[in-house]
Amino acid sequence: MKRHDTDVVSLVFGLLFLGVSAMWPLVHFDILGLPGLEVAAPVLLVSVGLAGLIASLGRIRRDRDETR
Amino acid sequence: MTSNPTPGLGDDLRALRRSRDDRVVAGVLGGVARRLGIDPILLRILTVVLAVFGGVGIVFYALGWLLIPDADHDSSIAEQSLGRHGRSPQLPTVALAVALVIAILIATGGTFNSGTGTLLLVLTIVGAVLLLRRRDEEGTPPPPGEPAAYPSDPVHSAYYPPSAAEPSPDLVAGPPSTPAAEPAAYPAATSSTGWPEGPDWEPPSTYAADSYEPASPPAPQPRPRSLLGPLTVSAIVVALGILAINDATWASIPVSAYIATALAIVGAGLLIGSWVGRSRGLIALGLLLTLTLPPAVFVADELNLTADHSTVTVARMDQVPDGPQSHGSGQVTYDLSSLELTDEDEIVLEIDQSLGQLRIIVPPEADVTLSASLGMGQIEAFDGMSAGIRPTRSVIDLGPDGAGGGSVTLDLDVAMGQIEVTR
Repeated sequence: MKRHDTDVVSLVFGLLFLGVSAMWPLVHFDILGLPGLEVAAPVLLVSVGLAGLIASLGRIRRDRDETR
Repeated sequence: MTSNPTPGLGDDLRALRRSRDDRVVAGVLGGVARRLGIDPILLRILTVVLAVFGGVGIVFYALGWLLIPDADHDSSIAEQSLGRHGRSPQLPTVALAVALVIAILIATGGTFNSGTGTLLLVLTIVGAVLLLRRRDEEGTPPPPGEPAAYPSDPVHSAYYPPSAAEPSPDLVAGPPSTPAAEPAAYPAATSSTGWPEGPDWEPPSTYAADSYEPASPPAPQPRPRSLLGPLTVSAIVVALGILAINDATWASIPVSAYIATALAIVGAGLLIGSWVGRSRGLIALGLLLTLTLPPAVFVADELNLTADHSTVTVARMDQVPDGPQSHGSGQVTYDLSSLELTDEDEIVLEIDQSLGQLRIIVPPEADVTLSASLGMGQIEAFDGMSAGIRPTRSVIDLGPDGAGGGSVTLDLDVAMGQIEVTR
């Protein structure tokens, strides 16, 4: 498998799915009740989105540096 | 396909490709719309509507993503994940066997814990479709019953314009309007052949050549396939197998654990794929798993399908069970009829049952305070009855002797079935 430039789409969905699966034990063992879930889900979305933004920005910057 | 003048439904399905040019996410709807000769925007709206109402649209889209090959390949992501690049003859047999085993497991609810069904059902459907595609590829004649079910000519004429030179507006399954008005309404769908011949229709020769992208720029070199997808899927299979072994031997593993595990591995695969290899197809799988996770956690895990036909006879005060009682599925009876209570005696019974009938026979003269709730079914308490979805019943019944004769407090909860309280 070849190494390549960061694939932001894969990154975002990978983080999202890992985040959702990480919530499962919290819900299953009742550490995080429904009210907790209502907070945790948006927090997950925001952090995944931010990660995607940062990765995209980094890529844009790299592309610009390369063309220069 | 050239040798077969009347392509059947199988050929039409097989010819589906995800569009490379006309895509929003993965080109599923662009490809399907092209095949049907309708404007993709219709399908997009339909899918979004279905996605908003219950998420069905997302499921369909994800399945399409997994099962329809993209324009550059002959095999879909799911097929590639199963290692079906070539034409190995053993695979359909293996796939059939796997599908059968899964179907039997679902039917019996056997080895696997309770409702692992959701996940397995999805896998079964995926397997069945792969199998169908496979059979079509090998040109196996359909079983005798099938031709009647898929009259090939109407299908044929519905999907293929008789010829590109012959305008046939009735083929266009889009919104009813005159062909002349169409080009303005759908400029995007108009290709060089013009609307009246159908949107994007290629001359028949290209159909025969099995190509559905418009006379595309010089045959694109298909990128080498990444191993990441197959690796991830294999890891999932291994992990689920290990879970199932533990489930069958010593542990009790909830349905949602299977789904969460698979989802975590999909996430890890994607994360790796953002730097090494390619595995975007896993996104579709992840979306499906994400959608099945909440119902699994909040519905399937709660059900206990273990057969439970217990009768608990309480004849003395020291036989009264302590604390909340939990039962599986079946007929459960608590018989308190021979229990003798003095006026001061107080009994509290808290009973949970998954599916089935819960009968409580209370002492003849006790004062009963009942609070019963049911997901779905019927509650009969003394002379009253409630039925339907989420019936509840709170009753205080003093018995034939009025106040006195001890007190019994019942707190009953059954997911689905019947609650019966009698004296």
